[in-house]
Amino acid sequence: MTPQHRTLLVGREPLAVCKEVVERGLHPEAVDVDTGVRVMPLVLNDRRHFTLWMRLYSRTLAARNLAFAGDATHAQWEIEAAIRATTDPPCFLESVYLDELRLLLRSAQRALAAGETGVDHYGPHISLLVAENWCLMRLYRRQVQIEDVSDDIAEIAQGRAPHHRPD
Amino acid sequence: MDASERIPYERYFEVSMTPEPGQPLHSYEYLRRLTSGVLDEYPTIDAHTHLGRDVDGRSLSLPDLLAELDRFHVDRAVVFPFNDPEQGDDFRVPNERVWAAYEQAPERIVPFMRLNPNGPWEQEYERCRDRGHRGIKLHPRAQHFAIGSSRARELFARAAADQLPVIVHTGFGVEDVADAIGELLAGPNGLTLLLAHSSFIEMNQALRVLGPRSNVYFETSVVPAYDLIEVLTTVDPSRVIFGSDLPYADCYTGIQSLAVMASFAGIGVDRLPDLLGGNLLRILNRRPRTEGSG
Repeated sequence: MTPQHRTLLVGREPLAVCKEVVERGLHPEAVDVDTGVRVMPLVLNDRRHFTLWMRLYSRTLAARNLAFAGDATHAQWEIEAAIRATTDPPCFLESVYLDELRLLLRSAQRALAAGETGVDHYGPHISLLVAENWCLMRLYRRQVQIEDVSDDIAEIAQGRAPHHRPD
Repeated sequence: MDASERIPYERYFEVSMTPEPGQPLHSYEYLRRLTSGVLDEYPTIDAHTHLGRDVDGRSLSLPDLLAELDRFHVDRAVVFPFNDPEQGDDFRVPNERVWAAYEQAPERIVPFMRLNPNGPWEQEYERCRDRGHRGIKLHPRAQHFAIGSSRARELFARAAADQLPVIVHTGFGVEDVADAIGELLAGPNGLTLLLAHSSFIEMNQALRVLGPRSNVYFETSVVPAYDLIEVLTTVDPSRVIFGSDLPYADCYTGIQSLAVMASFAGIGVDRLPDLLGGNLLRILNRRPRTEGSG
């Protein structure tokens, strides 16, 4: 359950904002971020997070299948739709990941535009598979559960959970 | 602390995986952060790169390959030919190309030969083996052979006898192979097999049959994330090896996805040196038998 009261943080750097969230013991879903340009939630709730990345995953998967089928035109439509969906981040933290996905999609877009449109062209397949994986990794992030909850919260969030600690 | 009170930060972010100010995600600096400095402290070796050109129009030159390795501080790379338009019956021309690259950068390039089991492969195999190629690349779809075919089994047997590792394409465009590979490995034949892309249409069966085999390694270039998580949660980390599939994908993608998914699978950062190079280095350090050796 998330807290009812929302906290507004000011900042543009994800790392500094994430550290402040942990240090102050705030729930990520109860934080808004003022970047100086706009105010937006730090993260999305599960439903909206799933919807965002499933939309992008589906578009990318469709594009790869269309490219395989030799339908470069419709593949480009799906890629363009996915690119469009990355350009208006609905929350602060996903924006850096959406930027990276956009680069991957543009790579596939360039390959198709350069004529790599046959079933034997491996390049667009790989670019789009990497883009799919990018979406899946964001979806997997919400599935991560640290089972050992005896450690300090901040230590876990800062990447020093038991399974991350070098010997 | 009561578990019900704990805020599950890891479901939203990990500070150690969040880029520093001004740090692009697609950068060596970010990968170094993501891997807790492993890339600086331990050798990184790419198990899957191509050199020359492919029938699909893609190509990669030695300078471009080295530039990519330098960009992400990858120490060495296993290099083999593309599905080259000049492959002929035996891949002699593209194998020559790889050897020439090795001679120009012997400390960076690990030359593998590519062969076609359907062609007259024996002479090319012996030529490359005796000259010093360190392994073999096989591609069942591109060269139109089944892993369990008699011609392929002859080649695998030679490689096993000479202690040359074989990297074989799996995944896209390949039918179910788990049982064929299982039969290939039955008995003490000594074959070291690297499964490129670690992807199978029969994933569960593949992991059941091949997961326990100590001489089978799972290479992770452009593997779908849902297959990679299965491999990382099922197979011992000592048998998972990093690959990029250059130039189709890049070193950044290979390292980033392996590090992130390993974290999700609960594999500690202390195992990353093995995944990113240590496991492959142990394979390559086994000296192959050559003509005249004992």
